[in-house]
Amino acid sequence: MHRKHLFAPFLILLLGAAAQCQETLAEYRKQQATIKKTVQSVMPATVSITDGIGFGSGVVVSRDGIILTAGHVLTTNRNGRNLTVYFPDGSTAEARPLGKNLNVDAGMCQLIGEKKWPYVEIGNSKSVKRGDWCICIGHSGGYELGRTPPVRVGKVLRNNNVRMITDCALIGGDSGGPLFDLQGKLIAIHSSIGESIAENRHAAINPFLRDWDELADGKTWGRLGAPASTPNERAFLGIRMSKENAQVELVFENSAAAEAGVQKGDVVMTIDGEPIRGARDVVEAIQDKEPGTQIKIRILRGDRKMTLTARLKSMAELGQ
Amino acid sequence: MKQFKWNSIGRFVIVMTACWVFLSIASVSPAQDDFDRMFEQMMKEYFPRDLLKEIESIREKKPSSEDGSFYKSNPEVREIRVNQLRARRKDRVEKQHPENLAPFRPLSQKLCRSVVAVFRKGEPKQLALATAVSNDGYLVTKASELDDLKEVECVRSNSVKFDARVVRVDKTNDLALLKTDENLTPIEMESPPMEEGTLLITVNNSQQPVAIGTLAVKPRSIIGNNRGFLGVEPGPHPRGVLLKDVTDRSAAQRAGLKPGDIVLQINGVATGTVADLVREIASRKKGQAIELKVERSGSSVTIKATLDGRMMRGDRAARFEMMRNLGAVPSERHSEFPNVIQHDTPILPNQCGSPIVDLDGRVIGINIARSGRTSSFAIPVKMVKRMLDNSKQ
Repeated sequence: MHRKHLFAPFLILLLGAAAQCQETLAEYRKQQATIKKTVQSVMPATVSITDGIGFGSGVVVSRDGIILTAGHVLTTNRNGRNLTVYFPDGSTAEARPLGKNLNVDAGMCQLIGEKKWPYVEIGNSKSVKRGDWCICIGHSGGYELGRTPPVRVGKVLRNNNVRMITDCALIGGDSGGPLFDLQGKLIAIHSSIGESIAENRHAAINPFLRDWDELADGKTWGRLGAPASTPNERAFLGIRMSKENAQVELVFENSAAAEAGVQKGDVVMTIDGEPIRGARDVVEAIQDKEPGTQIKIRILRGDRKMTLTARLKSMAELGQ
Repeated sequence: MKQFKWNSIGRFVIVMTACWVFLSIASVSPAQDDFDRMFEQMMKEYFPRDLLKEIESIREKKPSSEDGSFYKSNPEVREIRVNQLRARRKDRVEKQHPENLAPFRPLSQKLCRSVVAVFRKGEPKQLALATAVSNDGYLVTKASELDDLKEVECVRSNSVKFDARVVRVDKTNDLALLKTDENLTPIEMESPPMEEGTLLITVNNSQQPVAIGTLAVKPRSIIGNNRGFLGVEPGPHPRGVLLKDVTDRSAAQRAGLKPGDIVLQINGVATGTVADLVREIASRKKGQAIELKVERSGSSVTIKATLDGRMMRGDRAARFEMMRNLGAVPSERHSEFPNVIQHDTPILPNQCGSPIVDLDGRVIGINIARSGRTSSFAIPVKMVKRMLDNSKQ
């Protein structure tokens, strides 16, 4: 009898969980239908670009043949020779390289020829949130005859409207390829990768729009690998922590951490609910936040746990 | 302010602008040199030291795109990498986070009864997974992961162990057929429709899904990565294909092709567009001879060429190989399959032989290889069924 009582609520819980899974599975089916439809509509505009030295990807964004790509895809082509463009159906065209902003890894080309080119619509990268699903297409490894550009689906992990990080794995040849929201609006261009398969960087689309006229004019500026923002624009917490554990080694004067009451020797457990195991986690937790953002830091001091609220500051504010 | 060590942001952020890949063999232009120097600089700045060492060792070996994985000759490094991948901490939002895989459990719970883990008898290291394909005791798995064993040990989802014999090896598809007396629930082998963007779930012999992925490319042959390569930079021309450039030491240069030549025909087939030329070259294998009809300074000449294999060399190869290994350990055999589905599910080499299933619970194929950071390959169930039918006859 006693056993039964214990078992019943447990069973209900289990059934409830199963029902919930079924429900989300149904939602995924719906989402999948959208993805498949979107893929068919955007794939024809996803191109492979080569200057005879390397292969990258790109995407046509206007009826008259403007291609957006990564800035670094155009860096080997210094003498301004035309590029060969491969469409997924095997047809080819030539394109003239236009401008590039290497700071954000943005590049632009113009297809040559009077033709109504297949194109995709440009979206707004500012409205893209952490956790949003996205569709990634690109000619991985360069153009391959008889292969359509591989489709990947994943989630946006971080976005500061300059760089977007997703778990859609990229490799050489994908550079310059498009990242779409589920409706097929272009939200970013593939740029670079880190060691993890969840560290894939894309250049957000809004800076392309901001720089449109300069890019179309053929201007080149900036340098690759430049930080997405200057220290004066970036948010800092103001603690130093070892790589291995989450104990605070130093709190900088006037910093957000100091004002929140963080002390040397505190062990940081979570920041905004994200577990902290070392310096790297702290950087990850705050790097895409803007100065002025409030964060919740849960710490362990001696054997006391407490939650502190900090308002992140920029380097400029710190210096004052 | 000086002690502000925020440079570490840069250190951990492994910025790599290497997605720009160098595949064609072109002579090294000054621009290329500059780019290489810039790339070197970036690698030094941003890569963790152990990864740099790995790149160095790959570079010494000078692999080509055909000769496969760096790990082949470095089993210890491979083991370390596998463990690193397994231990990798996932962001809560990431699609592969265990919490986010929970909705797919109803699928894996059902299918895991058809899957077993395969071991060398009495040893703890899992070699592969195998999938039951008939109710009379046949299973399929990845042949090249079995270390040429004739008999293996299988472990079911309920921890029951049994022995199985390797009764057939299909080298072309890298499939091995196992036979056991154990009563197993086979997968269903209809052939569901396949479209890019289909969500796929990989299942092992546990109730928890291994990982999710997306159907990236519909079934195709990936035999002949060693396909023909001429070594020219083609451009459109009203009368044929204009050779804008001819690569040093390439098949084209040896044959005497020159920049400015207009290719009119290859083996009698008109090459009106660049795509025609690419098709005619790429549909042939390395070593094959072709005859080109070429227009040169107004007159027509015939030129015979013997095709090279397309391969990357030196730094380019090292770079691509390094990228292939970033965040993944490729299977030793990961190419030359006659018919495979490409998907992006991150599986480990010893998770091949497992089924992938769509959201409606239909088995799409059997995982046959992890080929690198972005891709895995699976043999469509139709092919598996054919192999099974042939074996039983």
